[in-house]
Amino acid sequence: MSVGSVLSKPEALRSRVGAEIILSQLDELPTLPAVAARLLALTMSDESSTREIVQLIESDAPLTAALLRRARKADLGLSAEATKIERLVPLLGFTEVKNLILSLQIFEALPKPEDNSRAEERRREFWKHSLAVACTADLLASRSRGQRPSLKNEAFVCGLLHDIGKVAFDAKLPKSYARVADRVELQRVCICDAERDVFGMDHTIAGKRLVSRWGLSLSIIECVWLHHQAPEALPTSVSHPDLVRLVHFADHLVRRQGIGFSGYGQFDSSSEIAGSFGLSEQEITDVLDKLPERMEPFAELVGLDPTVSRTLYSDSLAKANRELGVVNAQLLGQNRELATRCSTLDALRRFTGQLHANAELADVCMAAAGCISTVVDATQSMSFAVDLRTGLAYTGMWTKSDGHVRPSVFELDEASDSALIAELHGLRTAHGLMQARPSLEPFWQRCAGSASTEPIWLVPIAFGDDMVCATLFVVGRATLAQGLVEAVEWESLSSAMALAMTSARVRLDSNRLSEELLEVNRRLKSAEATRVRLRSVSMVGEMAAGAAHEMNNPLSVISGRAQLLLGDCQDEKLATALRTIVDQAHAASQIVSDLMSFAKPKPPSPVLQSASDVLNTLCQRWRAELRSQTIQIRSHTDDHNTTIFADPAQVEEMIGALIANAVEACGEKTGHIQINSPSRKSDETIRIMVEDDGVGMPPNILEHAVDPFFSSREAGRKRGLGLSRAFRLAEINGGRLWIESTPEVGTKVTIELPARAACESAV
Amino acid sequence: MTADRNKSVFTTGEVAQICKVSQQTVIRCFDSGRLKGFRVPGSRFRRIPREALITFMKTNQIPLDSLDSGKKRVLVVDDDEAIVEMFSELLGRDGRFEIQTANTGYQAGILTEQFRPDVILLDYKLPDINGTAVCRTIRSNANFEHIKIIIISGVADPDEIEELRAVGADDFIRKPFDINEVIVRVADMVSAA
Repeated sequence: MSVGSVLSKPEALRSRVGAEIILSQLDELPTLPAVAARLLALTMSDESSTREIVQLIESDAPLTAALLRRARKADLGLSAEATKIERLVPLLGFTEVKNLILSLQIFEALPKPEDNSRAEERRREFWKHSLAVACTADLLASRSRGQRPSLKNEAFVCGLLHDIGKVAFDAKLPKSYARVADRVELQRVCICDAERDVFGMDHTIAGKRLVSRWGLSLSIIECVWLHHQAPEALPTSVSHPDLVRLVHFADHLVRRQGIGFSGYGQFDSSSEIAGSFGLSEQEITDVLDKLPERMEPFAELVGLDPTVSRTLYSDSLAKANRELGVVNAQLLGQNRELATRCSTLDALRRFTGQLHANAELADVCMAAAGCISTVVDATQSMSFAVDLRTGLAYTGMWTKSDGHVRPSVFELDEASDSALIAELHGLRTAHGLMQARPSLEPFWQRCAGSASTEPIWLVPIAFGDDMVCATLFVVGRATLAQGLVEAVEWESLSSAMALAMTSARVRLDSNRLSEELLEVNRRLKSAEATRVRLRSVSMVGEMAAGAAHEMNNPLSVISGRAQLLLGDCQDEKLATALRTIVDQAHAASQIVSDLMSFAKPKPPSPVLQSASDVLNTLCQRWRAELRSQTIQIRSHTDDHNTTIFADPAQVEEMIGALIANAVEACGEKTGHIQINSPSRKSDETIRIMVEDDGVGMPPNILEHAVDPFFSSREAGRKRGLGLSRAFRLAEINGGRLWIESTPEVGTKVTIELPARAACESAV
Repeated sequence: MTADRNKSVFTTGEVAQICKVSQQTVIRCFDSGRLKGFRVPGSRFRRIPREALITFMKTNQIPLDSLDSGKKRVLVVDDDEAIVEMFSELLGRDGRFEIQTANTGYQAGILTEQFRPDVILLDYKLPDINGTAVCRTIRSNANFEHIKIIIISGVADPDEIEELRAVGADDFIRKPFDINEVIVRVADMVSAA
């Protein structure tokens, strides 16, 4: 992966600017030494004579000395007396001498990084690589068929210089280049990419700039610039494609051999390139076999390890092996990591698969417990979500032995669970796998049914301030801390669970809200109905009060006049009629009065009284009244200390109305009326039930039972104000009244009244 | 000639007749200040207001019978003409009562002053003023303290009745009523007066 590819635009721009600065710094590098420059020029013109070359070399005494000394030392087949360059040149051939000198001088030309063993090592490795490529290119060129002769002359130089850009970078910017080398080593990226990331350009560009400035030939420039290009991708405008290909191929072979440092790059199929040079696989192998031998004099000359020829192979192989080992270890690590991720992902997939659209917190807890148990192969696992506002705990407990997962919801007690609650508060900010603290053990025990003998592990699933979630689990093995930490992608697991919990929580909240809304709506409706009813009752009151005045006047006149007439009346028949007029006028007036007292009852004057006294007195009175009838009245109070806090007259009227109603329900037949007041010691209210086994009421009548003037009896017989008045009186005394009734079975009317003064006062 | 005993101002002659004394005695009492009164402006004629006469008779222990007609005066106050008529007829037929009627609180006030009823049958709800206010006004005048007030109302709210009694009502009759009951109540009130 190219690190540069992820650079943002401004950063890319910065790199370009940086690249220009770096190029200008490269320009400060020294030019090529005079002898090397001249030698290269001579090579290129190809018109030089041996004499000229000898003179040129001899003009540089230290070079001459070094060349001879090293040539001797390297045992290039020179006899002891071969102390003169003029002997050396014909012996080795012009090209070889030139190559030796260039090898010696070119790298020396560039300043060495300051005293730094790593940089020194790097420089040596560059050297080794460049020499190897040069020698390989030379060997390949000498074996290639059908190529132009100059190929052989230039192959070595081009190979030698192809990576000059790296050396230039390293010479001028050693610290930055150390970063490039590190990155190549650690991240196994292509060296060109690493260079581009650090410098904004790679060594091919830097090298091209340098060799251009040195005035070297176009063939060298092209090789330096294009040696990384795949042969088939070379532009047609390239003047020396064969040389470029040759260097590319040599570079490729040397890299494959792992000789020296050149960074990493992809290895192309070599047989194709080899074919283009007319070389067989065998010939390539021959070239590589000869390479150490060919490299040796140069290595000796430039002061590289003299044992290079003997150890090069084994070193290379060892190094390749080492690198392979490193790569292998890295791959293994990546593999493990991938396997972990894969199993985590798998567990997460199952986890999310278990969640449905309406999953509640307990469902999520169950799914999470199951998920964790598969990830860590737990014997038991439990997930919980605790609402810290309400103290409600939602849990899911999974047990391996039966493979079942059990949900439970319970309330934490502020007093007895205080340590647990404090611990839960602490978990809100915790992360990662940890061992559960002892204060969590009772929680585990409550869900698991028994304490755990193994350590309990905990993974917090944090979200929100007032909700804390976590997963607890127990594994069969006693110690596995480190293994578990690495074995699971805890972060991914807990964040996925947190997400599921959050959405369940939001759902819970929204459900709660809508339920509350529904309840509020219901109460609002009921309050509205009560308000409408009270309003209509109060309107009836106003109307009745007005009517009482308006109607009582004419009724008084009717009644009074009739009475006056009655005084003079001798005719008995007429007198009866007049008496009826008087009675009916009074009856009509009574109706109006009743209606008014229903709508505007006298405000109650509540008194604390004994329930049993009140009921006994009433029963006695009614028994006396019904003596001749076939109806029995019984009363029963559980507790003689039970009290009623209400207006005594109104209580009497209420219960009287209910008894009257019950008596009427029993009609002519034998009936039983039971008055009960069950004990409700802890309550603020007392209930008095009047039950009869009379005709009962069908629902359509029950619905209107407390409406004023509604009567199930035939119209006109008697108006029905008894129940409605009792209902109203219960209401104004701070109580209520309701009726349960089954046709042909009986009716039960319950009055609930305050038992104590502390109760809410009247409506 | 028999003095109009319902008059509010009497001459010395009429007072002599009512008190069954000579006119000279009346004049002497008037002049000495024992019988309060006034002289008609521009003349020397003496005039005695009814209250002054009653006070004089009471002071001198002269029976007040001769001042009355013998009948008890009843003022019926109701805005409903039919009610008023019925009461007039009812009480008139009894023979023991002298009746006057009013339809408003204002009329009731004037007639209380002029007619000096023994009993007022007062409808609680009048178009201009309610029974409580009428009671309070009558009771605020010491000259009317002997007047009995019976409230007649279509609404018998115990609290209202209590309030009316507090401001000076003597009895309460609910509409519609038994006529005999009304007669008995009125007669009771009169005899107590």
